[in-house]
Amino acid sequence: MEKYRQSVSRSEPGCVVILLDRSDSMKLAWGRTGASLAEGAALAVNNILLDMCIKATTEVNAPVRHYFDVGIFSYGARLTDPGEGVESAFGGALAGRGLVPLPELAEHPVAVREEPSIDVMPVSARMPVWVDPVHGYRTPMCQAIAVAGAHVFDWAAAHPDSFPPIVVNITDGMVTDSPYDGATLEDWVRRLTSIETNDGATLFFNVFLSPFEVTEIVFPSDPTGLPAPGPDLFALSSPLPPPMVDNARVDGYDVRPGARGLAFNVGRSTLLRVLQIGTRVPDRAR
Amino acid sequence: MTTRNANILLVTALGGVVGGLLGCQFLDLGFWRSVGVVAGGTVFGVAVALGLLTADRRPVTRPRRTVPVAPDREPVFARAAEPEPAAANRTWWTEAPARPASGPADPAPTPPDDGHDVGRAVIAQCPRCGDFRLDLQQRADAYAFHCRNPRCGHRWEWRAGTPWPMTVIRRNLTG
Repeated sequence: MEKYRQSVSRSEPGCVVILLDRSDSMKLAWGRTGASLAEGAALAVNNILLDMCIKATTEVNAPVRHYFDVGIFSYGARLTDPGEGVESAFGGALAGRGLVPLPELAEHPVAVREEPSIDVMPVSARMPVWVDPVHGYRTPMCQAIAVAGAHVFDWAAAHPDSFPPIVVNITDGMVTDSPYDGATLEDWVRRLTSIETNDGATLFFNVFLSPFEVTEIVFPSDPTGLPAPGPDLFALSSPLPPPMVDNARVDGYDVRPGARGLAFNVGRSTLLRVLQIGTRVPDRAR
Repeated sequence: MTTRNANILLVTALGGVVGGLLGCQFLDLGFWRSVGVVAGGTVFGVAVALGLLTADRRPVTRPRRTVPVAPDREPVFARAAEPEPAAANRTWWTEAPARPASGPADPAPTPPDDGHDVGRAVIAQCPRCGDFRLDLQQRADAYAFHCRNPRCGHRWEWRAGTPWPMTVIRRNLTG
């Protein structure tokens, strides 16, 4: 039976988890934007959450439909307790929550602020904010997968017929806690992607941010020629399933057979496009 | 060893050497007192180095103060907070079943269709810039739209049953 063909609906919602690097290096400026990597990543995450809320609203002024359960887990600096670790990146009423139904997410941003455009354009708009930019300490990526994996595991058990969970890891650096609890980063990713629904295995995508203006590599089909840690991230990233290959081609990307869910050295606008491609699952109004 | 760690060790060693030289220069100690000073200095130096090495003093940047959202209406979706899985202490990867059983198991109950016109509802999108932030006024079966994108501001009308205007997104208006 063909996998990754399930559409999202209220009876079979999807699951999107974003792992957000909040290590010290995220303080670096992102190209010519004048903002840090942490600020750019938080802006893109807030944009994609708003995007998901809008797409789950089928009528003007109608409530957001429960098409997704969403989790944002940060690793690096913590906000709840001083020091390094992994925590839910949500604040306000959602603080400490793991996976949150989309309607509840839509109701509880921590603020509505004037935010700059994701493109390098001198415009801004008032938009809800769920995640704030934070940076400090090291990069406990393994622990992030361990924490998020528990939520993904429970979600998959409760939604066996849904589109498989989508986990997107946004980072700018190398893992600093491998091995963690006796398992390497590769082991943790293998554990995560072994969680399945009847529609396929959990998808693990990686987005590597670079503070420098270098060539972007999006959805490569071959690790040859990728600078470090590109080949390692390529090996960890799931192959793009057919719906996302279609999404990427619609967005103008030349996606070849064997393409992986990896975007390397991406800028801010590309980050948002990759998040849109990686989290867009056909919906079925029901 | 990181550069930072190496620097701390180097400074500690230099401090010990300088202290030893000063002690030899200005104090005339007996053998066992000299041994005691050296041992005490060594223990102190090691303690300082360990303290510096284990404390991570890199700053944490906190977000700027946020403006709380005024709860001007009841949440559309409200439920009691569920207990979160104790992920840190849990070996979920050893739990069964990691792979759900196929087959017609208990189908999840379908929530009632609480929306009206569900079958023909659409997301309204500005035909000029593609933005979803729209103002809407309805008169009978006619609708007047206004795009709230400050770079666009397009106004148009649409009547139920007629085709939606052709959408040609101008990239310079998006944002």
